[in-house]
Amino acid sequence: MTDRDYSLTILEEFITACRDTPDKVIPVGNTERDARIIFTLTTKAKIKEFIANGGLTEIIFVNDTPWRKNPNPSQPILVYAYRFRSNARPGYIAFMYIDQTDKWLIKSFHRPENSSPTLLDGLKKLGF
Amino acid sequence: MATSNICPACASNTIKDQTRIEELFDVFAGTIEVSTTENICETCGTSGDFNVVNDDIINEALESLKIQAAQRILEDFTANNFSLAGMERSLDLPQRTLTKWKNGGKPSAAGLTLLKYLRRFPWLLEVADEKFEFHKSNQICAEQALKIIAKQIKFTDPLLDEQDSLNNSVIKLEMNFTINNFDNPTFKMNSEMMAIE
Repeated sequence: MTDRDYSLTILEEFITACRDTPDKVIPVGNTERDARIIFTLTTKAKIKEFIANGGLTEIIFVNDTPWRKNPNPSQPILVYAYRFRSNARPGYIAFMYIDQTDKWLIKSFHRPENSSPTLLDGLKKLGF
Repeated sequence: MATSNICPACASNTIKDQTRIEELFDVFAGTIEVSTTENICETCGTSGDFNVVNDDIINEALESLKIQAAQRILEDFTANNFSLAGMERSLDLPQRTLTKWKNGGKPSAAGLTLLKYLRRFPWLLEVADEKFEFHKSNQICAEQALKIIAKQIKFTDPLLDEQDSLNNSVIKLEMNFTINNFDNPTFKMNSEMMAIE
């Protein structure tokens, strides 16, 4: 299995968890607040329903990186990051699966870092 | 500081609870503050609502914001001599639907979104009155756009202003983009001199 295939498989498992076992999916950190402010997803339940119902479109795998704060480094845990789009709005999501607790943690849910508006974006949005 | 639950990230049970004030905002209803509980793992630093107790608090606050938003929008319409019965007719809503919302009844999500569109673009009521017919609808839209642009134009008399007369064959348009808010870029067109030979 290539890295790309693996990243898609993990993503599918994550989306399936949001749909079938939402109790196992937990937004952490600033995820909930970012989702509320940026994507009008006001609660944890709405975030998971959105993901489960195909809300993430044009998904692009960004990377997988070891969880930096893992208190047990002998058992590495990877954080998977993806870019996506929801209508015209670009987004970034990062999540990880914790085998020990059988939970999916959504670590980030916000705009991509380099999506700051430019004059060109403004012009495009205005139809120029 | 109470300890409760287990960290979903590292399974540690050294969890401390912290009260957090969240601000919920609606452009029509304003801001309200709610007090939520945040669980923080002292082992790995992961934070969140591990016990899932905040969703109900936030939902309740948001419902109250929705009711306030509907009330304020409808008050704006009635203050500007719009009849709620007339709006209900145009929108093909059951009579007294808007009255109920104005009196504090809970609007549906779709209903509130409709009200927000109408508040931002009241001429959509004219579009509804035209049964959403394509050409009429676009004509109403174009008329409104032209009215907005015309209000921004400063007309000067080229015969009375020498500087203007030097440039009277030029239509000078100054375009200002405001993209501080990327979600809602505004476009201003100022015509300092608008003269046609």
